[in-house]
Amino acid sequence: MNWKSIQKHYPSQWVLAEAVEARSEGGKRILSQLAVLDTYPDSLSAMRSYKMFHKKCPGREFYVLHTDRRELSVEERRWVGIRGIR
Amino acid sequence: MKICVHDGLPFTKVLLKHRGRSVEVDRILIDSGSAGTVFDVDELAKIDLLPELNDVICTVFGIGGTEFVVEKNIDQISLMSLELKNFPIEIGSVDYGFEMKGILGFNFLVRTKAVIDLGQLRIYSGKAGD
Repeated sequence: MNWKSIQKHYPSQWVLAEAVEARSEGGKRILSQLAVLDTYPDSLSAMRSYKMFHKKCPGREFYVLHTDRRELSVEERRWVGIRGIR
Repeated sequence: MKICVHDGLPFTKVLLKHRGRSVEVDRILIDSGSAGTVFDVDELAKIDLLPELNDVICTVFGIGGTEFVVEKNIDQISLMSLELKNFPIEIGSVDYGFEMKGILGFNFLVRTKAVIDLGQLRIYSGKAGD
């Protein structure tokens, strides 16, 4: 689903989504297709769920988003050091 | 402030304050190789510093995978005399395979003019007067 359809199908809530189709452009991550894994009443429960999914699958690209968010703008950074260790 | 070595890496503890609430967080890695400063979402939840609707969101690509973080400004972060107000931090999962609750990155270390004394295993501010 694209962000507009997600906003329509899951109005005014927190979602955990996985990038299905994404590309990097000028320091931004452009998410053209996302799959919603679950919905949450608050950001803490969404982040806790993210933690669990991320621990199991560190290579998959998950996002915690509120569907009232104005713009789906994601900054992209590259890092080595401890943050690359798994 | 004392530096404790666990798993061959330097850790310390910090005091975080936000909107009148405070929490002391132990097991914070001192990492000049990380550009940013990040904390475990469950520690920040203790002072109600949580992701909100229109926060800046980032994805960080490392060697072993990708990591999602949310950017926030915290009212105050301190480690004895090393203290900053309205400082940008990241909220994340901080799961790097061993027990830790956050990373004090280069942005914090450089702004506080931190001196890391590995002979004494201490970290302190090198600002004149400290």
